[in-house]
Amino acid sequence: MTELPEDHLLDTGLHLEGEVRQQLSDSARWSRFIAIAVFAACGAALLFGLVVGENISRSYRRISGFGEVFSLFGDAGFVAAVLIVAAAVVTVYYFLYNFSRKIKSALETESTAELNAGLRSLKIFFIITTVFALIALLNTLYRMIQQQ
Amino acid sequence: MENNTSSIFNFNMDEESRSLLSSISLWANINAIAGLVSAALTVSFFVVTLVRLSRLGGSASDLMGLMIIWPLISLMVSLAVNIILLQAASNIRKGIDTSSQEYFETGITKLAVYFRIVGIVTIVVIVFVVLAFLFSVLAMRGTGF
Repeated sequence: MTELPEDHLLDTGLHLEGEVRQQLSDSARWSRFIAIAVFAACGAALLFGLVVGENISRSYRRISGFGEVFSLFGDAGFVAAVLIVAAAVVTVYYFLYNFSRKIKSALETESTAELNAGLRSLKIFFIITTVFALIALLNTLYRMIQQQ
Repeated sequence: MENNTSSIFNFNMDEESRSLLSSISLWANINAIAGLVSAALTVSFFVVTLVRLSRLGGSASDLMGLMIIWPLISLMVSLAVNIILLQAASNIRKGIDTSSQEYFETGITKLAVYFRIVGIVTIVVIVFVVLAFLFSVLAMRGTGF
């Protein structure tokens, strides 16, 4: 009887077993929660925008030049801004939700295709959030330079 | 028994999974570094602003204690989240590059911890927002708005 080589994973690739499965399942559960919380927050922000949006737009226009941005869309400027931001955020977090859904399905059906679909969604999620993080970083730098 | 064995050895990653994980680790790495740099810049920007405010007079410095706590908490959370994401990314990358199950397992575990912390932060933020909303509604009613 021949003994298995110490690291037989070199031949067969990395395994999705035991601890890895458990942690992937945990990631899927938390990422699902995060995505649903963000969807709910966007819904609440939209509702808030619809209820008090016009008043906020008018107030901004009265007290500062910032309202000019909103006035491009008339009195519904604030609602439009909230709608655009919410749509962008929901799109980003849809990918996280999709990651959660596909990974859960992959673990249940042991399908590599589903696993890859989930990983693809996570990759897109990280790409978009990284771009946003870099924009935020540039914005902070710009503000710092302006203050000097 | 036979099912168990086949379930372990059939559900493996193919070349596409490896490539996707490699991309994920790359982007997660950049994301974490950007987050860490951003946190450092925000704090230094905040400190500079506080110093300028304190030069203006006493009223600003009264609020300083309260004003320092919030960014400090944000900084600590941001540091923890981004360091864990950085560790997850580098371990996944090492696992993929060297076909080491140990590194891969550590990376996936760190990724799960990352999502867990972000989830807990989300819960805390939801609680704060709901409380702030309730307080502002009560305050508006109190002033007859």
